[in-house]
Amino acid sequence: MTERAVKLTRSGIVVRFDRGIGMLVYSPFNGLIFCVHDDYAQRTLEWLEKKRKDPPTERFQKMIGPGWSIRHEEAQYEMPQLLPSKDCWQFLNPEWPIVINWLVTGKCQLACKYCDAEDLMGDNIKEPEEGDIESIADNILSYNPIAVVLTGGDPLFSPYLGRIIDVLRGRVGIMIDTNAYCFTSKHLRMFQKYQIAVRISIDSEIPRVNDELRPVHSSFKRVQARHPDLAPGSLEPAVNALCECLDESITVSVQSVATKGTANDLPALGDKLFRMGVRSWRVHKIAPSSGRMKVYKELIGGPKKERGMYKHVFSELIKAYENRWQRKMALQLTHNVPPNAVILVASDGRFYTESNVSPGKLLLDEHYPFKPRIKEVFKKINKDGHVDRYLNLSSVTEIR
Amino acid sequence: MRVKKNNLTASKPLRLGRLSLIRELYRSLINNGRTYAAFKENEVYPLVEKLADRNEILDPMSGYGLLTRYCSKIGISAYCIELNPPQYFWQIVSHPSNASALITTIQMMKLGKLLGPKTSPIAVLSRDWFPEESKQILREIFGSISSYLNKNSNAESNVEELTLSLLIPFVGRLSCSVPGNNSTQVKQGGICVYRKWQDDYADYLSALQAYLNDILRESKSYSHVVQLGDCRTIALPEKRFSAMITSPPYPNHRDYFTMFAPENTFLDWMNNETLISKYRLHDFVIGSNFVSGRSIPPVRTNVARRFLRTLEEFKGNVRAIDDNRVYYIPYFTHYFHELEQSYYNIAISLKMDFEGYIIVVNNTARNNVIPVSGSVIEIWRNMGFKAEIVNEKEKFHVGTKNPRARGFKAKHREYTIKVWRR
Repeated sequence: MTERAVKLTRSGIVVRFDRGIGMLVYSPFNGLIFCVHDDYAQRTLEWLEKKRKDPPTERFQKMIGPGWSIRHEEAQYEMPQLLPSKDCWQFLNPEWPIVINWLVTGKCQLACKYCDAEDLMGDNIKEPEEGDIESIADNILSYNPIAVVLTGGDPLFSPYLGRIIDVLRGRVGIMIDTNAYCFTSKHLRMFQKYQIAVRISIDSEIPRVNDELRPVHSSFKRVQARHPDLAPGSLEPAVNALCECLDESITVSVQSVATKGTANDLPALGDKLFRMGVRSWRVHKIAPSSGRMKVYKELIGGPKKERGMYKHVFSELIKAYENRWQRKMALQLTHNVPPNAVILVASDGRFYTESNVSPGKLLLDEHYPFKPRIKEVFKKINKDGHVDRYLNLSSVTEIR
Repeated sequence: MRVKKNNLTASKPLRLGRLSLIRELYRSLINNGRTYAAFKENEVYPLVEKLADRNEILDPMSGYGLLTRYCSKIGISAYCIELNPPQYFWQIVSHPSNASALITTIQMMKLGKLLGPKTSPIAVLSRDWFPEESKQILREIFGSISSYLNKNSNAESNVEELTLSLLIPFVGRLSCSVPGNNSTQVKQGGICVYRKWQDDYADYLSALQAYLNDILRESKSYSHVVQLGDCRTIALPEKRFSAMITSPPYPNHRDYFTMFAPENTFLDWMNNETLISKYRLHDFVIGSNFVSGRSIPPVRTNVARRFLRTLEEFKGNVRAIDDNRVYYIPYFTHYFHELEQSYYNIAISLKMDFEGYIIVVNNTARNNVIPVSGSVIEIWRNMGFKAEIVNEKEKFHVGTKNPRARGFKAKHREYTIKVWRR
C-alpha cells in the first residue's frame, strides 16, 4: 500500500478498506471496531463522510451511529460486530492486523496476579526515550491497524504519553488501557481533546476482592507511605476515573477479568456499570499457560472448573445483555484462546506475541524485531483468534 | 393553581427489575408478596382455614408476616412477633390497617417535591455499607416521609415506625453492597450508583403502592398485632392463644440478621445519630451462624443430644473434625437450645384448647439428618402437649448452602407438625 489505508472520516469515525475483510470501522464514540461487508462499504463511507444522510440500514445507525448520528441511548450493539449481519461472510481474512497493542511503558503501580506481561515489564525491558517514540509509532502505523491500544504497564505512567498521542492522532484510532491509579484532570483533558477511548480495569466492585487480584506493587507501597493522599487500593482510583470520564462524556469502557472469586458478582457489576452509563464492557477469561499454571489453578480452580464457571457466568452475562441492558451496552467476552491472537509492541519497540507453547513472549520476526515482515507476523499470529477478539465473533456462540 | 409535579408522577405501577438496584429480597416481596423462606400460600392457607374458628392465630417467629396476609383474607386476626427489625418493618408495611395511610402518603409524595441532594456524583465506591452521600440522601428521604406522614391524618400509628417501614426496603438501593449468589446473601463494600436514583425511588413507591392496593383489596380483617420482640424471652399474655401457625428458622447457616445487614446497619446509624429512638437488635437471632465467643448452652431434648453426639464422634479428616468442634457443634447446640427456649416461653401463653401447626425442614449435616422435626415434637411432648407429624414431603435444593449439591447432601424433607393439648 502506497497511501495509508486508514482514514479519519468527517464523522470522526476511522475506517480502513481491507480486501480480505471489507471495511473496518473504529468508532471513538464507543471504542468498538466493526466490520462492514464490501457490498455496503461505499455507502457506509459516504454516510460516515456525511455525503449522505441515511446509513445503509438501521443496524448501521444503531451500532456505528451512536455519539455522532444518534444519541447513545438509542444504540443497540449486536454480537458479533459484523455489518449488516454475520450471514454475509464465509471467511474473515484481514490483510493487515486489526489492532496493535503498544506497551508504552513497562512500569506499573499494580502487581495483578494474572498479569501475563511481566517479561515485558519493569527491568526486563528498556524504557523508550523521547527520540524512539516517532520511529516506534511509524513502525506500528506501517501495518495499518485501525486502532492502537496504548497499554503497559500503566500508560499514564509514561512521561511521553502526550508525545505518543500527538504522533498517532488523526492517523489511527487510539484506545488506552489503564488501571487509572495516577489518573489526573490533565489526562482527562487530553483524552477529551483527542477523542481517546479509555478502558479502565475493574475486576470486582468489592474493594477487598479487587485489591487481592490487583494489589498495589510492593515497590510502590513506599511511595504510598510518603503520599497519604494516594488511594489505599486499586479500586478507588479506577471507579473515580470512570465517574470522571462519564461526567465529561469521554468514551470509557470497563475491562474485567473473570476468576472464581469474581465471576459470580459480574452480572451485578454489569447492572451497575450499565446504570452508570458505561457503553462497553469487556470480560476476559484467564487462559491456561504453561508458565503460569499455578496462578491459573489458584484463580480458576483448574480446567474442569473453568468450563463450568465460565459457561455459567458468561451465559448469565449474555442474558443480562439481551434482557436487562437490551444491547445498549456492548458486551465483549474475550476467551483468550488461543493466546497468540494479539500483537504486542514492547516499550523498546520490538514486536511480540504470546507463545502458546512456552512461557514468555515470542518475537514476531527474529530478523526484523522492530519491523517484522507481514508474512512473519501472520505466521506467528493466530489470525482467527485475532479477528475473533476484536470483532467479538465467539461471545455468543461458545455459550450456546 | 397548577400543581407542580416532580418525576414521581411519571412512573406507573410496575414490577421492580434488577436494574432498579433495589435488593432482590425486597423486589421479590413487593413484586410477588413473598421471598426466601416465607410461607407459601398453598401450604399455609389451608391451615389458616382449618383454624379460622379460633379468631386469632399466633406466629411467634413471623419473619415477613405472611400469616397476617392470609388471616386478613379469611377475616381473622394474626398475632405476629418478630425479632429482626427490617422484617418487622416489612410487617408494618404489609399490615392492612396501615395500607391506606401509606398509600395516601405515597400519593402526596408523588404530588409534592422530592427532597434529596440536587447534585450527586454518578457513583461512589465505599468499603462501608453506606458512604456519606447515601447517608445524606437517606436522612433527607426520612425527613421527607416523616413530614408527609405528619400531614396525613390517616396515619394514626407511630409516624417514626411508618416512616421507617416505607424507607427500609429502599435503603439497600443506596448501600455499597453486592448481592450474593442467592437472595439471602449480601456482601459489604462496592459501588453505589446515584445516577437517576430518584427514578428508582419513584418506581419503588409506585410498585409499593400497587402492593398496598392489593393488600387493601383482599383484606377482610385489620386487627392484627405485630410486635417487635424475641420469642425466647418476650412476656406474652398468659393463656391468650388457642391457635398457632409458625415455622422456625432452619439450621442452614443462614443468619437473618446478616441477610439484612445493610438495613440493620442503617438502623444502627440512625440510632447513633439519635434520629430514631429504638429498633436495634440486642441478641443473636435463632440459627445465627456467629458462634465464636458465645458460651455453649444446655440442650435438653434427647433427639438433639443424640445428633450432637454423632457430630462429636464423627470420623473424618482432621479439618472436618476441627470444623465440627469449632463451628458445627456450637452452631447446632445454640440452634436446638434456642428452639427449646422459644417453645417453653410460648407455651405459657397457650390456652387449654390450643391447636397449632409448626412447619419445619430437616436438612443434612455431615451425612446426618438434622432432626429438627424430632426435636420439635419432643419439646412439645415434654411440656405435656400432643405432637405428631401430619404431613411431610421431600424438597430439594431449598436453602442449601451449595445450590449444586446433589443426593443426600441436598436432602430436604419438610414436615408439618400438629401440636395440641386435647
